[in-house]
Formats: sequence, C-alpha cells, structure tokens
Amino acid sequence: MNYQKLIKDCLNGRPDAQRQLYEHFAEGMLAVCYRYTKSMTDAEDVLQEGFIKVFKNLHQYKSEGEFGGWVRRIMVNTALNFLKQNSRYQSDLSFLDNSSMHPVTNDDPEMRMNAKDLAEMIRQLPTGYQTIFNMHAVEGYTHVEIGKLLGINEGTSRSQYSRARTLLITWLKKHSEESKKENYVRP
Amino acid sequence: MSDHDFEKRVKLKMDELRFRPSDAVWQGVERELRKDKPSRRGWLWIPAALLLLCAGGYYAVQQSGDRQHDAASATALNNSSADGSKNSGAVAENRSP
Repeated sequence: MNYQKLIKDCLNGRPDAQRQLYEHFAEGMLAVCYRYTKSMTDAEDVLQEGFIKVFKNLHQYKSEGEFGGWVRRIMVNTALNFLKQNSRYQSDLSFLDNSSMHPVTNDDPEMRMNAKDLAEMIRQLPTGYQTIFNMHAVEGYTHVEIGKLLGINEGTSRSQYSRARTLLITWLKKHSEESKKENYVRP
Repeated sequence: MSDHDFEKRVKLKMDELRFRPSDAVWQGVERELRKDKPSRRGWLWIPAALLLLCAGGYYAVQQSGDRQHDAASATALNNSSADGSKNSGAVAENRSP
C-alpha cells in the first residue's frame, strides 16, 4: 500500500482516504486495544479515541519509521491513558514491587491454542501484569521505556514482567496438560 | 530454548489477532473529524459581503450622479426656456408689417 499518497489525501481532508486508512488498520489495532483492556466495549472506546488522535496528528508523521508502527504506538499510548484515567482499572493497575527477588522460570510450554485464546489468557492477568507483559513481550518496549511510560522504575518493570511471564507459563502448562488429557480420554 | 523464544511465539500469535470493529467506532471517528473541519460555506460570507458593499457603493454613486445630472439638466432647461421666450417676442415683432 502506498501510504504516502494515502496520508497526503487524508491530510487534504478526503473522506474516502480517511475511511481507507481506517479500514486498513482497524482490525489489527482493535486486537491491540483488546489485549490491554478487559472488555470489547473498552477496546472499541480506545480504538475510536486512538484513530481520532491518528488523524489529528497525521501531519506530525515524518516518514522516519514504518507508518503501521507509528499508528500502533498511538494506540498503545491511548490504551495506557485509558487505563490510568478509568476508575475500573486504576485499583488493579498496581506496580508495587515488594521484593527485589522475582520468580524466574526456564519452562518453555507448548502453545497449543489459537491467537484469541492466548489473548484471553493474557487478559486474565492482573491489569498491571497484563500491561507490562503486552508492552514488553508483544510490543517490544524495553523496561527502561516501560518505566518512563508508566512512571515506574526499570527494576519494577522487570520484576512485574517476570511475575506475569511465570504466571502465564503456569497457565499454559496447565492448559497443555488438560488438552492432552482430553486427547487421552477420547476414544 | 532461550527465554526469547517464548516471547517470539507469543508475539507471532498476537500479531495474527484481528477483530472487526462495530460500525459505531468509525461513525464516532468521522463525527469528530467533521467537527474539526472548518465549514467551507462559512467563508462565503466574506466575499458575499464585499460584493454587496461594492454593489451598494456603486448604486449610491450612480444615484448621486443621476441627481446631479438631473439638477444640471433642470437648470439648463430653465435657462433655455427664459431665452426662448425673449426670442419669440422679437419674431412676432418682425412678422407684423
């Protein structure tokens, strides 16, 4: 897709170009928003707000990186602001680091599930773990970057991530064992 | 396998994920975009007002010019009527033998 022409047309206010840009990214970006929130309603709220920011700030895109990555960063930032400002998430958005020790696991579980089921599992994590896990494992933010975006120190981000990762791996192992049992039970 | 393999597999799976948003999402975005867009019709009043002003000014000037012309014409007519009556008297004198 020729993003340059599409962006230029959007900046000129062409409604068909704006719709085309939205249609191109909407499904993938809704998946991003879904991973950070606890309901599809909230995910759609974030998506709507995110796209409004995309169009309002489109003139600032400097073609210095991939356009899809730029859109995605806006969505993630919008999701983070949503979590911070929404009372439903604030109480669970805890980044307390009670110890300097954090669990480490070398387990490498099978991932015998589709993308949606894995996303649902990630969304079961407490909001703080969910957020940091998404940011590091999926979006690729470093713990330094996560610390700056969430207002926590790098060490807290690392320990929260480790706990999230260990918990997720535990669930994946359990899910894998249950899947195997089901296979044994079936004739 | 290294720790990063787990993250890579998670990322690969999450990058596959897609959901179709409801129509209301685009409607909300579009509503906001149209709200910010300045109305083209709003700017028409400036040239329209200028045009009216010019037309009004031209009409006023024309009216003023017409009045002066009428006044001048009236004066000229009065003068020519006065001259005409003297002349007609002289002719009458000439006619009589």
